[in-house]
This record gives sequence, structure tokens and C-alpha cells, in this order.
Amino acid sequence: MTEQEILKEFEILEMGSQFISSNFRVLQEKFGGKFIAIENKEVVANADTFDDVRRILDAQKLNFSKTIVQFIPREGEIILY
Amino acid sequence: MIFNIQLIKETGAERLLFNIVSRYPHSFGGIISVVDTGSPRTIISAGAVSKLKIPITGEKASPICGFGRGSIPCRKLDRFNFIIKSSEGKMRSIEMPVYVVDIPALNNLSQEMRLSAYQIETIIGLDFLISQKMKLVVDFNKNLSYFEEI
Repeated sequence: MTEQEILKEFEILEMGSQFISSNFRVLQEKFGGKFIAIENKEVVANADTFDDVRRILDAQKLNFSKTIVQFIPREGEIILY
Repeated sequence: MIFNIQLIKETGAERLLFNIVSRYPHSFGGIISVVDTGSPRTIISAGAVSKLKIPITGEKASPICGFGRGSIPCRKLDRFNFIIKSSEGKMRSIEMPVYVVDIPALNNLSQEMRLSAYQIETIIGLDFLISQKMKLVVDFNKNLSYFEEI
């Protein structure tokens, strides 16, 4: 992989993590308990399971590897590892 | 050198998000991870393993307990390669052992277990701080968090 490809990947990640960080409450209200896929600061898919998100992205001909897929916990739900 | 961490400050959902890019052979791609000083080990999530098609070839490790519901099967990758980016835009390549969720073994478990496992994010554990000689700074009041090379 080239340095440009790596930088592009970081750009996608930074956009995604900043989007999640800045909009967490809104995402929780809309998508709490679901997996979401983010591309260009936009939720492009949501579903109850990770595999279903992948299926939706495939159906929409979106590049699964270039989206950010995250689980959004429900409001009031605390996830402990 | 400083490596910025993204804070989620929402009450009850506080998180430290750290971006890494895998350069493991045939598994190039980004991972948003959670910094967790309660975890002794760095663990690559089921979602990341699945998305980046990280080959599950390492030796079987003890299942991860206290990590989601029940225990999650995993394997150890002795030399996982990834890149982190400093606040100045410089990249640092890292190679360290990590644990990866064993997707084939996970697929043999119940739907409920699988769902639970996929909800867990990639975790940057204490082994990262120790092996990479980093210190972790977190100040929620100043909206500031980063790793710093010692």
C-alpha cells in the first residue's frame, strides 16, 4: 500500500470517528441498538446485525471495506467489556 | 510524538476512540478502536476481522472472558502490523502481538452470542502502552486525550 492510500484511510477514519463523537446522542436516538454504516459523514445503512449491514451495503453496491461500521448502544445502555 | 485520541463525552457512553490502519498482509484497512486500560491485551474485534478479512491462522488462545456475553473464542496473532498517525501527520508503523476474534469458531455459537460478540469494538489494551512505551493522557474537562511516546 502507498503512503497516499494510508493517509486516505486515516482521513476516512478521522471523519467517521469525529462524526460519531459529535453526533453520538442523535445517532443513539435514531439507531440505538443497531449497527450502522457511515460513509462521508452520512449513515448509509442500519440493521440489527453486522451481517445485515453488509448485505444492505452489497445490495446498494457500496464498498463495505470503505465504510465504517459501528454498533450504537441504546440510550441508557452501558456496554462493559 | 503525540497521537490524538477522540473523546465521546456523552454521559454513560464515554469512550476513547483511537484510529489505526492495518497493514497486515491482504488485510489493509482502517479500524476505529476503543482505548481500554481495563484490558491487559489488544483485541481485534469480530467486525474488524470480518471487514478486513484478517486470516485466522494464529495459535488458539484462551477464550476472552468478561468481554461481552459469555466468552468469545479468539486466536493470537504474534505479529500484527498496523500504523498510527501523530498529531503532526507523521506515521508510525507498529508490530505487536494481538488477539483476534476467531470468526469460524464464533460462527458455531448461538445467534445471540454472535450478535453480542459483534457489538464489541476493537480494544487497545495495556500491552500497547507497555510494548510501545507510550503514556496515556486523558482530560475530559479539557476535551483532551492522547498517547505520547515516553
